[in-house]
Amino acid sequence: MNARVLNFILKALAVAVACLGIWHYLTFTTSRHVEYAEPVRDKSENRVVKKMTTQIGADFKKFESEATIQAFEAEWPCFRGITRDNLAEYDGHLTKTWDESGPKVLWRKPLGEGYSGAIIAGGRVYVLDYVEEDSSDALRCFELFSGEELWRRGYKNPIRRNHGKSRTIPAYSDGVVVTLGPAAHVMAVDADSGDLLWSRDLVEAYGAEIPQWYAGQCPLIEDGKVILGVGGEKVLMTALDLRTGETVWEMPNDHGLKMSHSSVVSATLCGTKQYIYAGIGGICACDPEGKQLWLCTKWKPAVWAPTPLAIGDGRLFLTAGYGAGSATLAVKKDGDGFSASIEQEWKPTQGPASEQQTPILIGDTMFVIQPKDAGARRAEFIAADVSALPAVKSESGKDARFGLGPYIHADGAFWILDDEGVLSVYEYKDDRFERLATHKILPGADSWGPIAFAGGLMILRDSTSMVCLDLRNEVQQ
Amino acid sequence: MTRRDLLRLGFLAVITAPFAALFRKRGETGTGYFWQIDPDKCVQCGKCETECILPQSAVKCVHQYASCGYCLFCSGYYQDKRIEFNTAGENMRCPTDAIIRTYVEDPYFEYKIDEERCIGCGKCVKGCLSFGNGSLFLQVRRDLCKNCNECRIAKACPADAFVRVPADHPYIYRKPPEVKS
Repeated sequence: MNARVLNFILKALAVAVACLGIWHYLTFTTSRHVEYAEPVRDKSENRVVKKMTTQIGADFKKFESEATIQAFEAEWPCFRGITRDNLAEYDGHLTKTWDESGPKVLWRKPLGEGYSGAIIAGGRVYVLDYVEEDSSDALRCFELFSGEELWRRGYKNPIRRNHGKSRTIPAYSDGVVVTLGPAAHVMAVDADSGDLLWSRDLVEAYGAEIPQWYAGQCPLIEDGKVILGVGGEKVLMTALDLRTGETVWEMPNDHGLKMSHSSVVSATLCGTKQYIYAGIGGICACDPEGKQLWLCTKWKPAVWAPTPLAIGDGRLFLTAGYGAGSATLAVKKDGDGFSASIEQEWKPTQGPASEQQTPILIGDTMFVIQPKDAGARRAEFIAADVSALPAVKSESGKDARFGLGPYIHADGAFWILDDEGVLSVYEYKDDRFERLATHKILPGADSWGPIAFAGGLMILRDSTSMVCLDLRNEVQQ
Repeated sequence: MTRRDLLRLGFLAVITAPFAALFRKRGETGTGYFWQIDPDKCVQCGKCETECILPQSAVKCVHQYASCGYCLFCSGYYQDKRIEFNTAGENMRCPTDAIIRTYVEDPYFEYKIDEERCIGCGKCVKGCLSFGNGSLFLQVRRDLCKNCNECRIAKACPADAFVRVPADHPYIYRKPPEVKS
């Protein structure tokens, strides 16, 4: 092969490669494989919701105790106290300033991981705990002043940790304690002996769906009836006889509302006594006989924990977390019936809002800790005039941020527990918050369980322990 | 050394160089210090996505599983105006669909970050911090970062969240929650 031929072949090859390159450049496309963001990409179609079938109240344990039950008339018998408004009645004075050692601690007790708050009745403390070693929900009864455990009544409930396990606060009335467990098991026991009176599984009985992170509803007892928001296939709310558990009435679930973490609240709106329930999908009310009065599905947050708050003139303040914000709902007489409509709504950055705790109303002023997505006011304690919502009147300031923890009003001051177990006392005067005292009471995280207060004794909890404080100021008594 | 020996040596060097590179990790500088984000200072301003000199930022979202709640409703995964709790695009918070969710068992879902898709915008981190445990946070990936003397993101960071860390411990973790067994 001579040089000319070789030269020609090389040139031809170079031209062929160049042509191939141009052709490839002109016809090149990236992969056309597109993965569509469709609703089922996470294998959730395989999801099997476990149903916990258990013999509610089957287990009982009585403890040898030398503690004697002291006569103690003061009570905190249910979620948000006697008047269900977190305003504690107390005739004496409380110690609102402390030295470095903090307030007087009567006792401390370890608890299963969770957020269930305590109640105080008849010189005893009751808490619906989760007992890890038994995989059980258990109503634990303690003597108030010593903290000695007297008995516990429970049942197997092998649930997995899902932001803790326990959630709810028992309710006490006329010698009966009623509990609603994380898997919607209702149990009524004798407050003195711990004897099981009756039980009901809301999932089995009504086809209720347990909300995300387990049930957070606290039972309401009124007029010898236990009123529950069921969110079942056919029943939305029901009233059960306190002593026997027999059904007194059932309100149909015509609009398919589901169970939320919110609790049924009783209020008088437009001159009529009503039971109001904020479910997933809407809010509704019935009269004391279970007849539906009104329903509103215009405001429906995906997760709803705080209870609706009656703020006067037939209005309700609605609030929920996870970006939902707040709204006001107006209930009006409409001929023989009622109508309900959303007046206004706003985001947490624009006005009062709450993720877990229910706000406190004193006169025309509402107090609430803002959620973490409230912008500059995140986690601040704020005050707002209910006639000027969503305007904020006062705020605790950027150096006073709290979290998802509880707060009550007692002896003219606010008692606020932050996420890390620090208790702060604030006075509200002349539209300003003034801090009186602060002290780290509990070691742990997620101190979200609501506060119980009776006769100067305060019970607080973090995710794994409970403490009883004696705040009575003997000098000023 | 003859010219032939020199050529042989050069040829040997050329063919062995790629193999030698196999023993060297990408982006690693051995000792010294490395840029990193302090997750407790980060305010998720979005500058990590736009300021990095690389075509796609070396900052990625990482997931600290020990802190995650494995919830059905994850506020880092779902956007505030979601329509339903499912994987349809309109419900997602991540603009590049970089969070992969898998059902584990009732009621748990696992969330993984696809780093090839993650652009370090921090939207999921903000969502997670607003309501969740803060298990999602931004970190400079050791294998991607060029470790510039003057990091452009660090210069632009409004929260002074960029810090120098020892190169052999290049990541900053959040303190996971204490759990009783």
